[in-house]
Amino acid sequence: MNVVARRLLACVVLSIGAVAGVVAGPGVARADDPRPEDTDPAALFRGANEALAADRPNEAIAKLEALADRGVVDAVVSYNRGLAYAARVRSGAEQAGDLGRAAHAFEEARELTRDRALSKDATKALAVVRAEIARRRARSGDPVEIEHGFSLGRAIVDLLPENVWAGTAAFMAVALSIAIVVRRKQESSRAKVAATTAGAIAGTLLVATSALAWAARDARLHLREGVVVVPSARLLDDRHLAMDGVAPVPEGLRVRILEEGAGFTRVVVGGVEGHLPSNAVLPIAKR
Amino acid sequence: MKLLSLLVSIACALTIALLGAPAFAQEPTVTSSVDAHEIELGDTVTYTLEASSTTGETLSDPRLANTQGFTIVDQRAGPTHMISIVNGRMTEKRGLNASWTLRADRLGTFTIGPASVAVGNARKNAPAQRVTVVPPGQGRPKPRRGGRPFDPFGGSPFDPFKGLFPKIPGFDDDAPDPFFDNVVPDTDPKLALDSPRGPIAFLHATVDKTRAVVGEQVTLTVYLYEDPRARQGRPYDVHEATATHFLKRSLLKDETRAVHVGHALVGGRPWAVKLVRKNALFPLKTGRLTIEPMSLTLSNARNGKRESETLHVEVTEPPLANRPAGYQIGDTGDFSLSSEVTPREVDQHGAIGVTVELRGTGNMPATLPTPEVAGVEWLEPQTRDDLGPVSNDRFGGTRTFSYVVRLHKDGAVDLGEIRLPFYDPKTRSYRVATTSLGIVQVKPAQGRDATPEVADAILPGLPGPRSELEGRHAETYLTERPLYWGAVFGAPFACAAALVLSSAVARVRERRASKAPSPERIARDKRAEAEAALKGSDGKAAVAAVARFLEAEIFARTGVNVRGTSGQGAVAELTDAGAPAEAAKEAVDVLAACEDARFAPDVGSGGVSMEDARALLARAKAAAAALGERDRSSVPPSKDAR
Repeated sequence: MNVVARRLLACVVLSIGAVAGVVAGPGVARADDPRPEDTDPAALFRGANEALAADRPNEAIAKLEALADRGVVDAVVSYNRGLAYAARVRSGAEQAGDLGRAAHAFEEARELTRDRALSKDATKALAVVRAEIARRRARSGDPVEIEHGFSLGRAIVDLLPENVWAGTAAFMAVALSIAIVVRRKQESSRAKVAATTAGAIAGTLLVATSALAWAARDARLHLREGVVVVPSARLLDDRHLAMDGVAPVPEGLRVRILEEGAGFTRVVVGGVEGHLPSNAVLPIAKR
Repeated sequence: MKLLSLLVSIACALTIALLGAPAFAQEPTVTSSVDAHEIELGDTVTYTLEASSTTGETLSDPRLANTQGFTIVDQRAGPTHMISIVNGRMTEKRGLNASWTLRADRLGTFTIGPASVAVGNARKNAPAQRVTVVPPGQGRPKPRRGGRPFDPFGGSPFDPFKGLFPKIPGFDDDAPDPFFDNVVPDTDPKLALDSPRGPIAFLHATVDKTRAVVGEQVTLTVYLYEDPRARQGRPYDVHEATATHFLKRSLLKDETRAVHVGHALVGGRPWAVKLVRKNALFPLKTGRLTIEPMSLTLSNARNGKRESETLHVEVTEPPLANRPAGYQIGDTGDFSLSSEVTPREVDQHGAIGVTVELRGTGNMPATLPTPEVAGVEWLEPQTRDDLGPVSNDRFGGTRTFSYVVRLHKDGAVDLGEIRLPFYDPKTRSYRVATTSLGIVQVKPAQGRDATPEVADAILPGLPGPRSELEGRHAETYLTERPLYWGAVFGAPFACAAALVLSSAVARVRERRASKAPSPERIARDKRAEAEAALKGSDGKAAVAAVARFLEAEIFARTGVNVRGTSGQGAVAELTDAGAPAEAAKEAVDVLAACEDARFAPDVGSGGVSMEDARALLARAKAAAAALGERDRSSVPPSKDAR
């Protein structure tokens, strides 16, 4: 077969392919390899934002969840994912657990971000979502308490970042050291009194702030929290039977995770320890 | 008149005949039988009672009176009801069948029965049966019921499968038994086993793979192996293999029939093998999932329970790499999509029908992701399945989704496409089944505006999305550095320790400063002073320094203070102190010379010459050396030496 014949044959094959492609428009069954925009993280994020802007929340959710599957942990991804779930609720195509997942995403965004503006927006969005959950629970006659709040110790630890506590403790250590030296070296009684007072204060604060720094470190390393993402979950005992006298756990509630087992997660909800089905609790990613 | 009398007589006779008919109705019939009159010790025999009645009386409460020499291992009973119409006359027959399976415990000839059944308020007996029990190996084979040595699924009123497993063609009553004819059949090596899992018959289960991803088909096959030489019996108490964490679908078109698949060598002997179950299992979760055994009980075995193996499958998620957006865990298989949209023209707010056909094999998803297009409302679909076994033991077929779609926007509305990402376990890769729905022409609505009602605002006041990723920052924490904790708690302690240490040093120095120097130290100091004086020009001063040096050396070496002591007295003291007499005398002489030199009148203008002083120092050193070392333990230092 000469070159001309080969080219002619190629043209015929290509033409047939092109015609088939045109004819096989709508309705033709096919299965292709995934497109790059379905797998590339940057393209996924762009596509998710476009879908969100075009009010296509399902597509946005799919792409943002795919990003999470790829291990992309970013405050903006979490925040936009929360908005996508909220958009699906708004669009009327809500699926069970969407509000809980939105709350989870906003909680995660708050946990991950260093941007004050984003943290503020996430907090605001979280409040809106929780208000909707509370409104629905109030309609159905359920308790509307969605947030149990932190313990006093946890609240104090969370007042400042870990490094600030650590820096304060270091400063207090320096102050205490100076006070000790001054008290020893100075002959003046007034200087000695001043040094003693300053040393006592610095020593106390040193103990307190170093304890808080340690507690913050411990929380960072060991504290695992999650958000309930099913409309109404029952807290279960060790036999995985519903606990008597314990109200159903509301959607969107932040809980402390003690242990993740096969099919069930041991949690603490409002001081009560129990189990929830694993699919009912989504762990919050940390920095 | 006669004719009238004749007719009346005939009518009366007929009436009497008809009314009297029940009086001549048959009594209930009760019969009995055994399946063998001679059995081996340990073998079983079945005593069957069959009772029937056409009078409508209730037959109930079957009892077997005498079972001496036997143990009842199984007992069953069931009613029968038959209606027959012959020549326009209906006959209704009710009955009761009961059977007892008895195991022979002793040798000899025994009477079983009679069995009885309650007929209304009375009981009616069936004949007793005599059975001879012979030692094992001496008995005659039982007459084969159904022609097969073991027919666990044969038709019987007591068949637990209720006739779900009728006799298999080619393995039926009338078929020649290859084993009994001493013909060794062809065996399938794939079905061969090292040893039987139980006598008479046993179950054997296999899976085609022990590792799978969520949603990937695992094929479970359960075979029934039958020993053709064993005596027949029927299984009961059948339990299906449960697989809690799997979606289970049958791959047999008719699961009520056991399929003879051939023969296999088990422990070197041929066994008949039947396919009892073949299921496609789709794992629903990850982990080590368990497939519980299928079980049944054989009636004519001492320990008749038979179980298939407990199987395990390691299930993981499909890989994260290249996982497309929108993929749902469990959508595993090989799928394709096609669609049909009718009509292509519609009025605004009207509806069209969209039929999407999902075709393929694997774990068919229950829902499809519909495209999101503004002004297009997809209602819940109706689903129609045509699923079942397809080629190569795969489960699949078609699932059709029929949607009603309302179009609220006019113009040419592109419905978009439906995309179903799935994982193909065969190629170990992700693929996406797509179907394009095309464009629908929507004519603007006439008359009143039929726009949908605007619902109350849900989730109002949400902030807008962000378009830039925040990015990850390297986090450093002071508390992760051991040096930090050392500095925080070490600095105050270090300061305090330094202060304590410095004061301690000062105290030591002070104490040392207040303490008397040792004679040796004084002697060294005096020697240094003498040598320094010799470098000057004052001879008397130098000689005085030499004298002080020697006195200090004498004290240091002997403990004797010779200052102010006369010559002979000093020598005596020194010798008493252990010094050699010669050395003591020489030392005293040097001291005397020094005294003389110091107090001698000046000669010319120079006084004592430096040469003399040097000579005296040399003598003093020699004398001191000659005195030797002092025994410090015997002589305490004296403060006077200073």
